[in-house]
Amino acid sequence: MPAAASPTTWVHGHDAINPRAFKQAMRAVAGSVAILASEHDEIGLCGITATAVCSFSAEPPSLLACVNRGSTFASAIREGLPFSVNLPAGDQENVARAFGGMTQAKGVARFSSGSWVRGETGAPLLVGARAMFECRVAELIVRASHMIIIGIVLGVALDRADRSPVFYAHGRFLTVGDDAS
Amino acid sequence: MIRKQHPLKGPNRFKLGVFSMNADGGLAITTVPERWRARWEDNLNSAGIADRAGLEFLLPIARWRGFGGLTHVREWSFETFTWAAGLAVATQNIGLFMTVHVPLVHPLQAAKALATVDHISNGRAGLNIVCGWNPDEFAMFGQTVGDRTYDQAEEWINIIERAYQSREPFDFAGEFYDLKGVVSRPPSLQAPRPVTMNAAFGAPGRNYAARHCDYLFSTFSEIADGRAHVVDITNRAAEVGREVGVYTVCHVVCRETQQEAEDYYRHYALECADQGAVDEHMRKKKEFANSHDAKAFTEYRQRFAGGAGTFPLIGTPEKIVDDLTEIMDQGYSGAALTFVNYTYELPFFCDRVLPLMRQAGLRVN
Repeated sequence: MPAAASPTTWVHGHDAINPRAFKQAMRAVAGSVAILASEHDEIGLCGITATAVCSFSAEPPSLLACVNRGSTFASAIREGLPFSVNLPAGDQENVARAFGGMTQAKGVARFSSGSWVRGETGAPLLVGARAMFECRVAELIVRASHMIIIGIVLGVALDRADRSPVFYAHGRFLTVGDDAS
Repeated sequence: MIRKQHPLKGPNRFKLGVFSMNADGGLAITTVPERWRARWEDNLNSAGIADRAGLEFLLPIARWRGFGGLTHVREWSFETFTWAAGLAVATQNIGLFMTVHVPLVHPLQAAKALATVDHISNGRAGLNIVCGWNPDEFAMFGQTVGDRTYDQAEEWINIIERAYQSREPFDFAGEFYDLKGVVSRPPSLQAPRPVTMNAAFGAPGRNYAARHCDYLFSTFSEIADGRAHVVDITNRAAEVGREVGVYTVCHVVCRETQQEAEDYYRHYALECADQGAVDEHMRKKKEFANSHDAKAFTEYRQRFAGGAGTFPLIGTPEKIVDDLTEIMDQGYSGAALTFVNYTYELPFFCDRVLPLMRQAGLRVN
């Protein structure tokens, strides 16, 4: 598999604001929560909770996700590697917390939160998620502290699309509706 | 194919399973004529009842020889990978454990068999990791029970997990296994591997459970003693950033009246106990297994005949739900149950006890 693209130098505009102020302001963005997961030959299963996930193009179906380069997930991800994007349902907030590093579970132990199965591509899928996208990495764009993963979507499953989504805002998970219990 | 979450990860606060139906007598050591024969039809019928009732799992015992006596109890038992494969086709929702002696089964054989059952069952497989304690069984294989079996088990499970995660062949150089160009496709459906459990009592086994098992099964003499096991494994697991659910094992006599239940318990586990086999079983367990506290052997002979030294649930449906609630309050997430005759007794248990458990908030279905 080709290695991740080497990071290019990212030059701040001279008027870029203090990153802390930026992070504070971004906390106000209510983002839909996704859990990205993959399996690497040596590292094994890895996954991360992310809010910076969106549709990229419909033809071919693709999506993009931004993750911190310092994460285990980012160190495992390679062009061509299968990965999944799972949108947890309201009763899976605990899974989002585990993969967001908010529990004591580290590494593969995170996968004991929720029930995970290997999909057609081998990517781990969160059973009972509202939607699961099975993808293959088409391109990695590494900039500053983060990387953009562009994934070609090879399969989707709408397991419980009727369930309420999980959002993240102001450092808290939020569930709309009453099926969070 | 719709994937379902593993039954042990389902919504019920207190999960229920059936233990040891693959072996003669189940867990009982009795001569009563209705005792469990563990024929395939028996297994099929009982598994079907448990599955349709919504119980979460079937847990087989791994026995290679019996405990003698009049009945040669446990001598007849089905091998657990093939047993689970058969039941995977015959059932819809219930979890299916396989019980595997680490020193007797090569990890790649185990990896392939376990993955096969996981695919047949659509992700319902589970692995009960046993290091073994019975020297007579190991002698059948020309082996002795080693004193570092948990070190071997460490390599054993690492090989299985690596075989599932790796698309490319890999080498494994360990103390117990030196393997070249390992590949094992397909991997299990469940990721990283099917759910795992053990029933360790000692520190090495508990530490192993903390690192590698999703569930620990533990017995106790009195319900109040049960909390200590929960605290012990929870602390060990927290040290390695994991959580381990704790289950117990109980033998059950559930009848409409308390008197009926106690009479039958006395009948099959005292008056009609297979005394020679009880002696042999207790002697071996005491000498080699480290599975019960000393008090258990002296005070609870009836419990050994009744259910191999597990905790007895004897009484009306209401009494049994009270006991299960008390067990849950000690921190237990579920129990594996045994009966003298699973096919005869499971329907009454499921019809009467499950609704009461729902009322009491132990289960939602």
